Amino acid sequence: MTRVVVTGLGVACPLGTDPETVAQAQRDGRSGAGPLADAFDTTHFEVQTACRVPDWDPSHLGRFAPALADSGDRKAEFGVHAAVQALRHAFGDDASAQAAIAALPGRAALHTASGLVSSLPAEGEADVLACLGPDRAFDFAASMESLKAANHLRARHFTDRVNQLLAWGYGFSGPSLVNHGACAAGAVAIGTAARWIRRGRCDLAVAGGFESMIHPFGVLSFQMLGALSERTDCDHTAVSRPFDSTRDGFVIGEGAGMLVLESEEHARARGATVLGVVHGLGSSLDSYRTTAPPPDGRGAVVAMRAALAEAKLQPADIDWVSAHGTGTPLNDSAETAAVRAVFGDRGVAPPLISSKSAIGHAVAAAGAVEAVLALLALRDGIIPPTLNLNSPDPECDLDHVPHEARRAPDARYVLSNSFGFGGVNGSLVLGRADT
Amino acid sequence: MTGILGAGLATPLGLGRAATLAAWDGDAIAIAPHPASDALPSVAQVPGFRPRKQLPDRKAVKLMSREAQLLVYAAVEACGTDVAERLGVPPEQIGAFAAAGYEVTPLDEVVDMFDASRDPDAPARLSLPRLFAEGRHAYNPLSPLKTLPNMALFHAALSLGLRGPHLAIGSSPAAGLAALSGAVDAIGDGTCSHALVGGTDAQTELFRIHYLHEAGVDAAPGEGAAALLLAADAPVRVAAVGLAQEPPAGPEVRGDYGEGASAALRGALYRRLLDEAGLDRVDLVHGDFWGMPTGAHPGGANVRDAAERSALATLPGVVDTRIVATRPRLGHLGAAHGLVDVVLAAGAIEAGRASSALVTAGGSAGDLGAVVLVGASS
Repeated sequence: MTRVVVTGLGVACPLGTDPETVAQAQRDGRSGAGPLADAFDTTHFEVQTACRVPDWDPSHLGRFAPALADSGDRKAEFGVHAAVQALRHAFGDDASAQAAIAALPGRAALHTASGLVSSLPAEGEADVLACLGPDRAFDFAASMESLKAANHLRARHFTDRVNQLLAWGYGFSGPSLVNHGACAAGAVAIGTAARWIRRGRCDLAVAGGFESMIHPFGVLSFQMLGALSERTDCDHTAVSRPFDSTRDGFVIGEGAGMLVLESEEHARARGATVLGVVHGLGSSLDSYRTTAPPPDGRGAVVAMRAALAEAKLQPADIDWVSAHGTGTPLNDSAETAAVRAVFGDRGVAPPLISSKSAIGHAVAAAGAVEAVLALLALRDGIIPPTLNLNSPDPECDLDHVPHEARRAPDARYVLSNSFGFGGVNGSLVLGRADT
Repeated sequence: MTGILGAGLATPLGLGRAATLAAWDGDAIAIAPHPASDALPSVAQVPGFRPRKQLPDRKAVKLMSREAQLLVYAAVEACGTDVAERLGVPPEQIGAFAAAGYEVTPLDEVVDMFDASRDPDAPARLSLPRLFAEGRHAYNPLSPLKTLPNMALFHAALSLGLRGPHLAIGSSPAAGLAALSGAVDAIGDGTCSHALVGGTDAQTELFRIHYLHEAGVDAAPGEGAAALLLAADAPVRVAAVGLAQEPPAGPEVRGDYGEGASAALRGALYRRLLDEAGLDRVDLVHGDFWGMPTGAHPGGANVRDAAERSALATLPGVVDTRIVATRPRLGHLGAAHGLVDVVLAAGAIEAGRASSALVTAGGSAGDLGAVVLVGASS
């Protein structure tokens, strides 16, 4: 079977905007959390913490920057940034990447992931307030004109914008789609793109996810669903507490992770450096509840077992598991139960760590960002830590590698979990370059 | 070869597959004045759709967007709610692959929140402190759930009890064919034995109407859903399916793909799929025609219809092929388009009016999909 190798990595996440900065922060066990008030006025709002991409300056996006300048679309900026970075990582520079993609007509693919696009306040003002009369009657005739006032912001609603820009910038002409599988989307996008390569639908793909929900209506939506931590009794860096008995919800994150995937044959033929391997994807549906997993994590069990089967590996081959690990009370206990069902109890099961303790939850991009982090950790011979695990929950009784990264120079395989609202599950098996 | 074991439709031509096919085979046109206001363009809405009476779980309806309601209807018609038991396979062996349109929050669910969040000193502006202190209490906390882009797939899977692999995509007209491609691959790889494939959209909501108007789309905003139950062997077979991306000439939102380049890329995809299907021609084409007048959009001449015509003209034996477009009669169905066309084309094959069909669909971001269907005897 065709081996699918990773030849380029790109990232924007709360730990940094390039793989080496992020890898160092991961080794150091740093947190990317800070005040949500840095993003917008949070007066009267319970949620006060977010994990934002630091020092973000979209002007470095070069030829892509003007096309994104007016829409306020951070997620698309992150997506383009990470994809361009991954392509330069894989090919050295833009011209080489363009030449390689031009040599693959119909066989260079894009499979990205993004999520819910809620409106900005300026859209609410133009689309609704401007059309409400004194009697609160909505003036439809006026709306056809007034809606134009926010038209420049409308581009951020098109989640296929990143694919379109990459196609313009590099000439991609193979399969192209945007995965909307909620918090599992990034992982499923990477795994599905790898399958495209294995099936011969393409030779190369840029796959990953991009997301930013850190704006008023984005954060409000999750808060109203009861998903976010409202903790204010500690430093921002101590709010995200996966697997801890005091966890009370996730911390909203943002960012993008992109991988350049190639058939091993294509990568070897051009002398590319192999950074890792995508061995398998498993996905499943809970068919249970909208925002809660079944307590036994049965859907997650199906996904993890399916990923292992596609990778042709046994549970004992997995060196550590990158958890979905959001820090919500329901997710972490259900995920621990599912990992125990697949791998066994503590002492048998591999370490189960949560990168969301450091970077928050990047929603549709989470699985992709965490895939980048996992591949960097495999390269660096470490198991990343779970931060803020001071009072372990008895229901989350596996080895969660608290506080500090652990040396693991022999680690070869990681299983990375991503589970989402709507009961969508995705598990990826990623391997070191020599697997 | 993977094929279509069941199909369901909810379209402006009729509620249900039989009603839609009968109307399609006649001369019906489903476009009518917008019920909310004469100031809005005419729309194409699904007739006689009463979700609380016609969907299996009436309590769940309030959690569903219009897109989700339509998809559940079509999915139940395609599969039946007892599909795993009827097929004798575990629910983990039935996947769900769906394309859903961008699910905007309906106007009536946000008006109170926005109105209560006005800045007292500048009433045309929103005040975030007012939003957090007061406005949000006028907003239904369940409303955000309706707009999550995988919720249509969730509700369809929950209604049928499916637990297999999934792919949630959208909101392009080509997305339904991408969902079909994912399902065909999953069954071919043995990842699942059966798959629900769905496409759904509701373009008739105010904000969507505005987008289509600004985009210069010359078809009425429409709504609808289509669903298929795929299996390894079935009367109408998916002989080949493929996806592609048109590289635009510039970075504009609604890109200019250039008639010649677009036609060449489309033609290459369609001919490759005919090749893979082992066909030297097809009897029927449901083409990617938008009815967008040349030069309609501000970023440059939109030539997609001309490119599609040029691409189809390169197909072998095309002079004897019946080429149809659904938008003039069903309106613009967004993410439902590709699969509605698939169900209509499959109906023609089942009725013996064609032995093979090519269905094509494209999105404004340049993503393309195409599928070749053949009858079991082909």
